Amino acid sequence: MLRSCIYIEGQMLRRNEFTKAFRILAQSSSSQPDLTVLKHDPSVSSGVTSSSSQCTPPKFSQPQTPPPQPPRSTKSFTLITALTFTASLGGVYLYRKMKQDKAQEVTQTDSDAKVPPAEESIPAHSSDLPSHVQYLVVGGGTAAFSAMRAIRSARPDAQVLMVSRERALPYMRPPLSKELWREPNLASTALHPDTLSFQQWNGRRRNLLYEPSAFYTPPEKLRETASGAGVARGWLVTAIDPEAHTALLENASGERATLGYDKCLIASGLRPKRLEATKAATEAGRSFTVRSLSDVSELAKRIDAPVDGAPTVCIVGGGLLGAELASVLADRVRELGGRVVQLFRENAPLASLLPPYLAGEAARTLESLGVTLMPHCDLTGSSIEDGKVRLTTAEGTSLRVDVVVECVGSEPQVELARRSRLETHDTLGGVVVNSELQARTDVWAAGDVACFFDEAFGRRRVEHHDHAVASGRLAGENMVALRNPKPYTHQSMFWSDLGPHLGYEAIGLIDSSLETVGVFCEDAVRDVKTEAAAAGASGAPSVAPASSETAHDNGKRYDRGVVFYLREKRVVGVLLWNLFNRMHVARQVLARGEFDNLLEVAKLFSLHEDE
Amino acid sequence: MSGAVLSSGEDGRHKILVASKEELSSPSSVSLPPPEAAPGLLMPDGSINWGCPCLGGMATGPCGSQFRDAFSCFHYSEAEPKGSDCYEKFSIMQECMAQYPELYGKDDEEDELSAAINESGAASVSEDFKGEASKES
Repeated sequence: MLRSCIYIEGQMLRRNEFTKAFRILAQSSSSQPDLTVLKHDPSVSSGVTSSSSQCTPPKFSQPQTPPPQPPRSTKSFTLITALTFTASLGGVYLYRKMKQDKAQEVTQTDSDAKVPPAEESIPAHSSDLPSHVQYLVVGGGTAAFSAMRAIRSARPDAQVLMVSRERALPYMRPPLSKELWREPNLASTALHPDTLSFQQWNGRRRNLLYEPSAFYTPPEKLRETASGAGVARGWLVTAIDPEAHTALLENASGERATLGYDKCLIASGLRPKRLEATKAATEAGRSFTVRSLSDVSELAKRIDAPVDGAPTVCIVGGGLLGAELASVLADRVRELGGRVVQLFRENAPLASLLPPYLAGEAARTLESLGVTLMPHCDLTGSSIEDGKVRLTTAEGTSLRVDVVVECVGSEPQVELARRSRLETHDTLGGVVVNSELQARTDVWAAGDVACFFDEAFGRRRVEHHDHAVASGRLAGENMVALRNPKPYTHQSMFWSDLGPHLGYEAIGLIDSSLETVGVFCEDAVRDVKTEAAAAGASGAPSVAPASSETAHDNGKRYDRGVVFYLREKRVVGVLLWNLFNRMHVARQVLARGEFDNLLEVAKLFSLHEDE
Repeated sequence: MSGAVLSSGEDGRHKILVASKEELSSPSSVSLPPPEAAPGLLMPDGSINWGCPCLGGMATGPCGSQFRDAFSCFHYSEAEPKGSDCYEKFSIMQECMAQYPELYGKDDEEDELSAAINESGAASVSEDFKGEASKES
C-alpha cells in the first residue's frame, strides 16, 4: 500500500491508472504497482526544548519559524492516448473530473443557496423514503460507502440506501486531521462539502466527497426505480428487527419511518468520547472534538477568528489524533501568533503505540513544530474566566487557553445494535460479528463498529480508515454473494505525519506494551548532544538535554527505521518510521510472522536507502 | 549479527539494533513470496473486475449498467477495429450519461486528451502500448 493509493476508494481514476487499465486491456499484461516516491527531507531541523517530567505549566517560547513545506514530488505522466473507447466515453467522464479538480483550485465559491437548515433531513419527510430497499446500509461513512460500491459493483441493478445521521454525503475522514487544516477559510468551506477539496501531498487537489451528489439517486426516486444508490441524510436508524427484516428510522424533528430490507449492514461508526472535566468549556462553546466535517467547521471558526488576539489551543490526549492535530494546528495558528499546548497522561505523545525512544522522537518533533507538551497531566476541571478557559489538572497545575480540543478516544455507536438485540462486546465494544462480518442472518457490520474475529489475531475491533475501506468492501461482497462468503483477513494499515520531517506508516498490532525490536541504519541514528551543540553553534537558542526521566532514548535520535512488534516471538505488527513505499513488504512480513533473525528481515526494507 | 544492540523500556522490552550500511545493503537470507497482486481491471481469468477502484464511479454510478454493457462489449469485441460492433450499446450509455451532465460532463473541444488523440495515429499508439507494456514486464 503506497502513499499515493491511500485514499483507496477515491472518486477518481487517475490518468496513469486509467491509461494503464486500457493498456492492460490491449496487452493483457499484468499491472505493476504504481510506485510513487514520497520524499521526506532527511535534514531534520531541531529546536529541542526540554520536555518536563512532571505536569507543569507551560513556559511559552517564541513560536519558531515555520518549517518548510514538505517537498512534493510531482508525478509526471505521459499522455498516452488511443482506443476510441477511451476518448469517446470513459475518457469524457474521467477527464471532466480531472478538469473539475483543476477548476476547484480557484472556484471555491460559497453556494449557500442549496444548503438547507442544519436540522432539516434529506429527504425532509418520511413519506419520501422508500418503504423497502434491497440493501440497507446504516451509516454514511467510509465503510458504508465502500460496501455500497462493492454491492453495486457486483450487482449494477442493486438498490442501496445508506442512512447517515450526518448532513454531508459520504466523505473521507483522514484529511479532517491532516490536509484540510492547510486550507484557508476552512470555517466556511467546510460548511459546503459538495465543493470542499484539499491538496494532497503531491500537490494535486482532491474532493473530500467520494462522489458528487449527481452520483446518488435521490431516496424518493428509489421508490420508483428499483436501482441506484441513495443516501438519506439527517436520518438515524434507531433499531432493526432482524427477524422481520425491518428498520425504524427517525429524523431530528421526530418524524419516523419503517423500512423493509433484504440485507442490512451496520456501519454506524464511532462517536468521540467527551471529558467530564471540560464540561464548562464545552457549554461555553470552547471545547471541541474532531470527528465530522461539521466539527471541523466549528473548530476552524473558533481558531481562525479568535475573539481576542492569538489563540492558545489546548489539545487534550496523547494518541494518534491528538498528536496529528497538534502538529497541523501548530502550523495553522503560528501565523496568527497563536500556540498549541498538548496535555496528556503519558510521558510522551504516542507512548501507547510507539516504543519509548520513538515516542521521545515524536515529542521532539512536535516541540520543534512549536507545540508545548505537558506530559503526566490529568485534566480535572475547566471554568470560564475573563473570556478564557481555565483548565486545572490533578497535579495542581492550571493554564489559561482559548480553545480546547478533546482527543481522548472514541466509542462505537452501538445503541442501534442494543435496541435490536444484537450481540455487543463488553470489553472491545462494537457489534459482534464472525470472520465473515456477519452478525445475524442478513445482518452484517463493518468499519469501526464491527467487533470481528480475525483468524490471525483473534477477536478485534479496528478504528482505521483502511480497515473501513476493506471491511466495508468485504461485507458488501458477502452481502451480495449467494454462497461462499469470504473471511476478513485484511490487515489494515494506518499512516500519520507530524510536520514535514516525520511520517510513519504501520500495519498489524501496534501497541507499545508488546515487545519490540527496532532496526536502524547507523547513519539514521544521531547523538542528541552532537545535535544540540550544532544547534547552539548555528545561533539557535541553546537547548537542554531531555531530563533524566524522559531520556528513554539513550540520548539518541532515530531518523529512519523499522520496528517489529512481537507476541510470543511472532511478528504481529510492523512500523515504518520515515520509510515509505514499503508497506507491501511489511504486509508480507506480517503474513509470515515467524523469523529466526529480524536483522535479516530488516534488510528487506532497504533501511540504508534514504529517499 | 553485527551492529550495536541497545535496549530500553521495562525489562528491556524494547530492543534497538543499529546496523551498518554495508550490513543492511547485503542480501537478506529471508525470501518472501512475491506479493499477491491485487486484481486490477482484469481478473486472472481475463474477465472484467467491476470492483476495480480504477473504474472510479463508472461501474457503480447511475449509468453503471449501461457502462458495463458497453465496456463488456468493447472488451470482448473481436471486430476490427475493436469495439466497432458496440455502437448501439455505446449510444445507450451516452444517452444515460447525457442525463447526468454534472457527473459525466460533455465533450470538450479543448480537451487535452482529444487533442492528443488527433495528433497521434491509432497504429503508432498501439505500438507505444506494446513498448510500455514490455518495459513493465
